[in-house]
Amino acid sequence: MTKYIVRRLLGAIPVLFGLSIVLFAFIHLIPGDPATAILGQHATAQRIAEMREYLGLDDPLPVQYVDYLAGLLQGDFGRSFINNQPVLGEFLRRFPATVELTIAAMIFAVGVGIPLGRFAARYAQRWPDGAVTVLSLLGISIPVFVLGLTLQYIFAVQLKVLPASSRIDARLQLDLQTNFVLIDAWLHAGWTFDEKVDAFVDGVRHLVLPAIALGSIPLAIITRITRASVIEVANEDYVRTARAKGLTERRIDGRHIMRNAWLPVVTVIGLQVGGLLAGAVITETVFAWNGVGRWIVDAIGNRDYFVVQSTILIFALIFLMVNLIVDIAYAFLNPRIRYA
Amino acid sequence: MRRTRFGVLLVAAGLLVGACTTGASPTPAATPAPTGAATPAPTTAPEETPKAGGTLIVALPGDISRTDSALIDDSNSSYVMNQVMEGLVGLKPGSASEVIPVLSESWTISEDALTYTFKLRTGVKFHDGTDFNADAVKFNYDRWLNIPDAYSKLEYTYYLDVALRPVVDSVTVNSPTEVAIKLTAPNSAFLTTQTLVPFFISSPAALELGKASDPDFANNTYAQGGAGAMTGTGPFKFKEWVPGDHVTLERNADYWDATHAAYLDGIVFRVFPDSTSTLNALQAGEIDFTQTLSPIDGKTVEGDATLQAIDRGGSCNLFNLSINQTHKPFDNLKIRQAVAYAVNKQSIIDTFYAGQAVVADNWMPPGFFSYKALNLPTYDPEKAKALIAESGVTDLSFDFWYPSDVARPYMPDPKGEFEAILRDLEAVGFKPNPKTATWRPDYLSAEAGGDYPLWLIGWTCDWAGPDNFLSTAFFGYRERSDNTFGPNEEFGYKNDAMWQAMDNALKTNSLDKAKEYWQQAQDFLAADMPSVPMLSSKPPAAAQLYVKGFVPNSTLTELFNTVWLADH
Amino acid sequence: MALLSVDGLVVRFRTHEGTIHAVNGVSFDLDEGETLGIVGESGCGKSVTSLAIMRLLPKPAGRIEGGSVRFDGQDLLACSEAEMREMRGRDMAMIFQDPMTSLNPVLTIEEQMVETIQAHRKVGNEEARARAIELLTIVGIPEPENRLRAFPHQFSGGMRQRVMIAMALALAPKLLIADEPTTALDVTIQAQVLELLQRLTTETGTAAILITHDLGVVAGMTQRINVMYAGYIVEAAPTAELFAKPSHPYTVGLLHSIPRLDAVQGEELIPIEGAPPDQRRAPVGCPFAPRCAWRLPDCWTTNPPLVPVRAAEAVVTTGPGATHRVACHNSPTPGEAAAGRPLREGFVAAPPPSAVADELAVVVP
Repeated sequence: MTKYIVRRLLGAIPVLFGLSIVLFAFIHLIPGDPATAILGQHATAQRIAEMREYLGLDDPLPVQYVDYLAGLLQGDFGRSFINNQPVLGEFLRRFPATVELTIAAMIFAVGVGIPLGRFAARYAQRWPDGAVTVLSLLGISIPVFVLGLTLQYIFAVQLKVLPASSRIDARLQLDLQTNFVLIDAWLHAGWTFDEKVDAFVDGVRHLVLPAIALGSIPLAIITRITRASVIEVANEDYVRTARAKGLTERRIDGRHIMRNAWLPVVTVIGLQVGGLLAGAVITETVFAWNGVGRWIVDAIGNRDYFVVQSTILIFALIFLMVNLIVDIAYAFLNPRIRYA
Repeated sequence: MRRTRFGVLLVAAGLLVGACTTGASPTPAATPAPTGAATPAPTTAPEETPKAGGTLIVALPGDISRTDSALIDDSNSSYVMNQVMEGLVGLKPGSASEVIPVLSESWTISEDALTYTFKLRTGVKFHDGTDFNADAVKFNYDRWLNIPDAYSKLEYTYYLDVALRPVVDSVTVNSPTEVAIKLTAPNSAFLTTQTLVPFFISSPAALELGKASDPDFANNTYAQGGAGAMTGTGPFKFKEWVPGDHVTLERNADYWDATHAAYLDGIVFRVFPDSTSTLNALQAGEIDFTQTLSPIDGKTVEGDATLQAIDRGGSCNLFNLSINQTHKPFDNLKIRQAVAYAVNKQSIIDTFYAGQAVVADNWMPPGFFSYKALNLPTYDPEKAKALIAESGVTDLSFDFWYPSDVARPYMPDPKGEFEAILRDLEAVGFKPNPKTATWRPDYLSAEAGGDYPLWLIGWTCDWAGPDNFLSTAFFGYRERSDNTFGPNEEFGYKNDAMWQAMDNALKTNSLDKAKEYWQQAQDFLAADMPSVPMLSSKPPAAAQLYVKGFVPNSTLTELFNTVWLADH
Repeated sequence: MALLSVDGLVVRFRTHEGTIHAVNGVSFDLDEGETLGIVGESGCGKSVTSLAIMRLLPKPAGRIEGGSVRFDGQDLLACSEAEMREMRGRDMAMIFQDPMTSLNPVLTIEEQMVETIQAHRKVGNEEARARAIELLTIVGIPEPENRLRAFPHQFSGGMRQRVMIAMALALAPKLLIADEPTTALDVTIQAQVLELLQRLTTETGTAAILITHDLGVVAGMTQRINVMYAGYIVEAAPTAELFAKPSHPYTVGLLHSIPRLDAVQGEELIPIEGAPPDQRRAPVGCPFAPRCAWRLPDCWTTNPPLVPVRAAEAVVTTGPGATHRVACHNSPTPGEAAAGRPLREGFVAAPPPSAVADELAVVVP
């Protein structure tokens, strides 16, 4: 297993390398001179020349790429134009917010998607199955942006049962230490236990709507995959064997069907992480969520090239790592696969 | 302009809390403070007694960029720093153009208009407890004049570069309470520019503590929310900045002007990038005040009795149907006037701005220094047709351009607005040929080089002065690409008398004279119709009903020391 | 009183393509300890019959639409799902064709065996595990303690089928149904597994139904045989009698299409021509008629009932003395059976009447 992990990690290197070339080329081949873009409408030729020099844009593209790559290999992802700080540090400061949101969205998508998929499979081809199908199509087709605003309007503005946006009530003035709100609530100095509990609960309440908005697409996909997988597994011979042995339906369902039906679902969950990171860009904007996604939006608006380039690369790295973890989990769930 | 400069909004509006004033009057409705007072009393109805305490949660559309007021050029940073920092002069609350003393008590201008001598206020302390005095002023101006080159390369010094380093020659301490600022050339816009946040005075001790002039910006904590950050003299003190999330200010209990000390215990400025989401948070009661909403969301607030809509009356921008008169048929005055009569500005405001804009009657927004109503052509297709007939021009075809991939505060829907204008032009007999290009770099470089006969563009101000619109943005003579000095190639508008009037206005030491010259220039423009100014958009603000004492300002120079929270 | 009594069983499947007439009135009995073979081509209804007895027909398509099944004094078709569940595995067990797919790939052998025992007996994990080891030993799996922790894919096909047998016999059921238990196995392994099955059922006195398409498999294993075709039993007899005097043209065909140990060297195998009927049609006439060399005009229109070969004999349904019965209008003579074709002078199989011919043209292109 260790050998397998090492091999997978090594295998990720050419992927990242190739991706860095594509990203670099993409960013440098889009029309427009970054220096002009940064300086704007009425910049003088001299200022543009200075900016080009500062950005290193006068070097040939391969030289620029090698410089960038050399930096990457030393853990230098470049600096943000906005504050001249290393991109990696800025990324890590915002990442916990995105992680918190993504995990919450995944819990929602998996926690609801799997039972819903099982429910649909149980009533396959009958009306509850049709209803779930319609719901999941809605989940896929409603833009996250629209869904987010609609959820806010219904649950925050009209019903007033959940907060509309941000990570925690600003009036609590929580000290951010780890940048995980749900952890920092317990670390806040000078709060009584009850106050910590209140802050934690407030943080969880703030997670609900963005998690639903972000989780809607994975939810729909996980529901569909679970349904299909359960139906397929339910027709397997070993399920008939389990029935012939006189096992209860509950046991057949939970052990014989689900243990197998999980496998494709687990793979899909890994792939959805990529979608979640992309969805976070929009969700964080709608919910005033100070995470990496919104940072990229701002960076694109500010033509903060190193931030855009490096963050996407880090996202790719995370995506590869998550899928490695998923594959390892898959191996544990499926004894037929043993990576040597 | 990389980011939106401060002045997103403009013009005096007298609205105040409690009074749902719309239909802005050009002068503040109520400014009871005697002239010369640093800040006027809040305009609160007499029966309401302001109440101290509470924290105000304010939504901003974006984060501040840095915590050094000298190194910013965006409206979000400026909005926050206006609460913490103060300059020698400031804008009178509610006014876009009236300059009042703040950290100075008074000033004199030398006969040659080159030296401005400020008498400073005494007994003022910075938030770090050090004294404000003439040395502190000189320290700040000297720092700006000698700001590290690296900061300029990082594009942090826009305002220092355009409005200070070419303008100020030297600063002399005459006494602890008097400084003299010598300019490189006469400049009647100098005082106006000194009301901008980048020219507010920081504590020298804090600047040193925070390594504010370290050539490696990464070491500069003053500008990045660390040691020393944002240390001024204002009614609020900087407490915390969580980048991307919020800035927290707290009340300055030792404010030098005790009668105008803040009522609020503190302010939290939170970043809300999406307007509709901001509106939801406001309606859900999570925020107390939002600095900006989209026009359509502003309309929603107007219909919501549980919130107050705040109309700033105008804004610091102008949408311009631009003409280059070196292209036929626009060399003909009657044709340019015909275009002005052909377009229905109000219909465009209603369709694309949800009514949240004002029709332009000048090449700058209303409320500016020297602004006069020019009674420019209004929608009259018959008149347009008559002018075309009179002109004798028979070839009425020309290229008409719009940018394909951009939205600006003054131009939210370029394609839609283009099509509306196109229909208006065709209706009177013009044969425009629709053309489009991507904003950067094609469109901007072509229009700046004078390649387009007719096109859509606008201007968001750097500061609320006539010079910034009439000269900088539009018709001031300048270095041309062939190294001669002359008309802006963008518009190809040559009128030496008009330029002389502008130049005179900038060089006089008398405000009265300056006003006279600027108005002369405006008359030339009205007569020559070098482009068709369309409108100024006015992004609205909104607040909870219990937010009292707020004084709106179209320049977004809005001070929260007068704001208080009623019981709710 | 027979242990199992199937009477007039009718099973149909509702599918998108129409109703499949899978089992069309099947009746047979089985005594305790008796071993019955059910033989026929795939699709003849033999597996469906056994699934119907277990009440394990795929839902919701498969339905028992007629007849009765009595087992151990109970009317199975009247039992609740919970009652059936208690009986399955405990009183009646089943072994399936493909040991590759019949064991759950993600559960260890231990988990699958222990859960079977614990589904019916209140025993602790240790006790259940001990019983599992005992069973694996009985079916001849070496090192059962270690093999318990293994997953199915770590076993060979034959070993897997041994595990299946061990699991089926774990609770000493009264009835064991083995559905093509050796079809998927190598020939040498087949014999071992069959031998094991026979030994264990004999030792425990378990009644067994052995379902197969291969007469060779049932020859030495069973006391009686039912031959099924298109959802009907077409011939039923004690095993020796069936081989000695096959009385249905289909049985004759089956016997001639398999290699026999006692066959004359070089004797040609005669395959049964044609294909089984389309079971989407309700049967008219004898279902075997289109493929039958002995058919008479009547065969096209009247489906012959299952009656004693020797007329007027009293019918005995179980035991070694069970009556030899056949459903045929024109049974082959012993000579014809041996030759595998009609020997009567000038006999020609009756051509289909025009109405039937048209229908055949539609169904059998």
